[in-house]
Amino acid sequence: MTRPPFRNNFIEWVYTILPFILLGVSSFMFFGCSNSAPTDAEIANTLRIGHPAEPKAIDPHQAISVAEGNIASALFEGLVTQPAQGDTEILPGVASSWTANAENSKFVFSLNPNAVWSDGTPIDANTFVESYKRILTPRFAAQNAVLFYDILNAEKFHKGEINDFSKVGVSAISKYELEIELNRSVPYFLQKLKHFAWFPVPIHEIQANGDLYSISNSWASSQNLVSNGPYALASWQRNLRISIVKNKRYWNTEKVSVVSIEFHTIENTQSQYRAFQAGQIDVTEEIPSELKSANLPNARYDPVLSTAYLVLNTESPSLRNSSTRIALSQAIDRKLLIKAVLKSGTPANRFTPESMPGYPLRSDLANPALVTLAESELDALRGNGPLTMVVSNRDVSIAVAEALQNMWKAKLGIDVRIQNMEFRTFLTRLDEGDYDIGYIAWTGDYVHAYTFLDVLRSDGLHNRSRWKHSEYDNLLDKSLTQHDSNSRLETLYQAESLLMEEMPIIPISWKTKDYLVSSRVQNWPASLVLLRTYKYVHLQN
Amino acid sequence: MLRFILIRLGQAIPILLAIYTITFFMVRAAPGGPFSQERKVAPHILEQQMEYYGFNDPLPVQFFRTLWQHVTFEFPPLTSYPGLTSRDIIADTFPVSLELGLLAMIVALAIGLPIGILAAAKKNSILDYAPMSLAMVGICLPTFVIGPLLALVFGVWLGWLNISGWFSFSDRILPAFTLGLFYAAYIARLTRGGMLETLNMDYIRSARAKGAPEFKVVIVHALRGGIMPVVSFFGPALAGLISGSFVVETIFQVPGLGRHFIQAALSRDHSLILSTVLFYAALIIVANMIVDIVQILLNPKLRYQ
Repeated sequence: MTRPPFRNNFIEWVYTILPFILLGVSSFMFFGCSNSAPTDAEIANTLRIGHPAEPKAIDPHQAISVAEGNIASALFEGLVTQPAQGDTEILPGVASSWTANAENSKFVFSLNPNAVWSDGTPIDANTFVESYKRILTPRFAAQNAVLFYDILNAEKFHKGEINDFSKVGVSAISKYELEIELNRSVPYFLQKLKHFAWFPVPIHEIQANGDLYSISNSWASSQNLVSNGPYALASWQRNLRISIVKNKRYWNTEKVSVVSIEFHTIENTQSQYRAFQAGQIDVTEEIPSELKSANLPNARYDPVLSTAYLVLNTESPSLRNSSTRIALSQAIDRKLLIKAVLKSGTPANRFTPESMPGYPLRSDLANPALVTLAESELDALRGNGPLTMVVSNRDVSIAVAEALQNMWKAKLGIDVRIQNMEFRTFLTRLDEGDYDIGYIAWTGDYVHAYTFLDVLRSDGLHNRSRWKHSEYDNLLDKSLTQHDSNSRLETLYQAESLLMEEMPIIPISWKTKDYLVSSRVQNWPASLVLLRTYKYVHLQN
Repeated sequence: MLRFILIRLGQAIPILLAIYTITFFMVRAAPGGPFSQERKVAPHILEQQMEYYGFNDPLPVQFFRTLWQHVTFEFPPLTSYPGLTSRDIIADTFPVSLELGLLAMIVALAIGLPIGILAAAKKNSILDYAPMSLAMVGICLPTFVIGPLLALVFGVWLGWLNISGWFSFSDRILPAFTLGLFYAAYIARLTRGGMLETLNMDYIRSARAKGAPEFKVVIVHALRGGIMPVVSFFGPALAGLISGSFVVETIFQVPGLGRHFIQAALSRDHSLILSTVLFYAALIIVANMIVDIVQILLNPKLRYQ
């Protein structure tokens, strides 16, 4: 048998060259790896945190998610700061002291001259004015600019109705004195100031890198990011790890204990859990849901201001009557749902979580009378065909929907059709009103009941229930004009009671932050609004 | 040959154009947009964001502008990472996926070839049945089962290797094996099949008759022919391997391209979706072309067609 000579040669050629290719590739890879394993001493001084996703931005004016905010809070510092534990205390940050007028509508901050940028550039009142001008500039299109609308004329400036920033209530009285004037009394304004959107940004650095007001200015993506917080950026390996080290120029740097922090981007909660078990990370983002009831030794279940709830489409023919909505709510066995499906949290009987400090003023929450739907009402409801419940395609959400489907079928004889879908499709369905029931959660921005109740305003941006109630809106408006904190909370509580009588949403559970923290991490911060301060943490090896 | 390559490259242009067009309109048809989130963006802010990224322009304008951006490699800022462009992402992540893919291919060849050869040489013995059953298991077990299993054994229980990350060489081992084992199983079966066919050929019988040692017959004479199915499998497999595996990259936190492929779609990042899809399409076109060239080289009959 003769074979074509060429084929023979080719295979010989492949045989000859293949070992060299393999050798070359493997040696390239071996020597191409720059980082070696960290030494024990390095690990002893490094706090390693499992991070849920590659941050979209660590520019505090563009950061949105809690996770992005966590990194921004380590790198930057605002006028006031969070205490090590809890949220009620307000500690000095860049501002060493402050005064407020009697109505809590005008604040003057005295800045600490020792607070400087990590490149040594001073921070003065003007830095804050320029920073707040940046986040409020319309074309910068910052989502969190809405948090600034308490400031006099801020909303008008942001909506382009006025172009003169000097009319906005932020001004430098002197080099180190900043005045913020609000358009109304906001007693919890200092609490709001803790949010990362209020951090100053290095104007000089951003301008050196391009347009100050451009969405895509890449200053915050670069390795030599300038910041003013307890930590400074050391390295950023995308989708892998962000390393930060103690900022030597930080005004309070001697109080900072942990030398360096690494944020390991690990999207998969199972992978995070394994990395924690293997001692690769000290803190995880969350506990995989199937392990939540397993009594893991390092598990923490911190109360947070977050409520999981069902949003009801009040324009849907089946759900127009509040009696139907209440009946649906009362048919839910929340304890069972939490025990069997959610595995953490507390049964919720109102929208604002029970962990909200000082709220409600009274503990005599009236249990709403049991609503029994007449057989004719139930027949009418069944006659409309099955209710459509939309959920995002997370396993837990689907399990919740299936449990509810069973409860409603057993107690009311109502059929529910579950549709689970990819997250943004799910949001679109809610926004377009193409649903009857949706399962979703709300997390407060700051420690005050208003951050919850504001959601269900008739024209509220986040009110997906399409519920409109002028009395509810009036109560919220009234609370804003009340200067006395107690009467304000009382008004808000009336609004909340009205909400539960009308039930455009069905609260399911008050959530907890479920995660793992290694025993070597001491004084780990707990915050109801998930704002973290790392400077008080220390490591025990 | 040069003419053949030029023709194939010419054919690639309409293919890529078609892929671009289909992807462009599919992305637009998907519900939700790059700025839709649980926490809704206020309408006047959304308007500014849409304006900045040019989503307010008429669709044909956007279609041709984006096309031109891909022709000139001048990419706009991404909606999911405002400071970066698709080029930054691909330049950052493709080398990682390439490295992982090549390592996985080495693992696949180093395990698959010897097993396949041995199984064919010792046909119908325990040395055939045992590894071939294992290979069947390897094909059936998806990477999202093998990966966590390997991580659990070697990372958590034995503590030899890191669970996640991409820092030292040892971090390459688990992902490369997870990805490689699946292909090893395939290669083992292909090699066995190819070898069995070749071992029945006349020239093998002549080699044996001449008194060549069995080892030489199998490795030198038979393997040259027996490996051919593996060679044709190699091209498309390599394209698949080096463009990144979403599953393996997610399990082991490998900063590769595969994750962006999925993530871009979930975050409706129009520019990144188009860039990664076109990049992957181009890779497959090139890999297929190379396979065709090799086949022409191997089969002179094809050369004149």
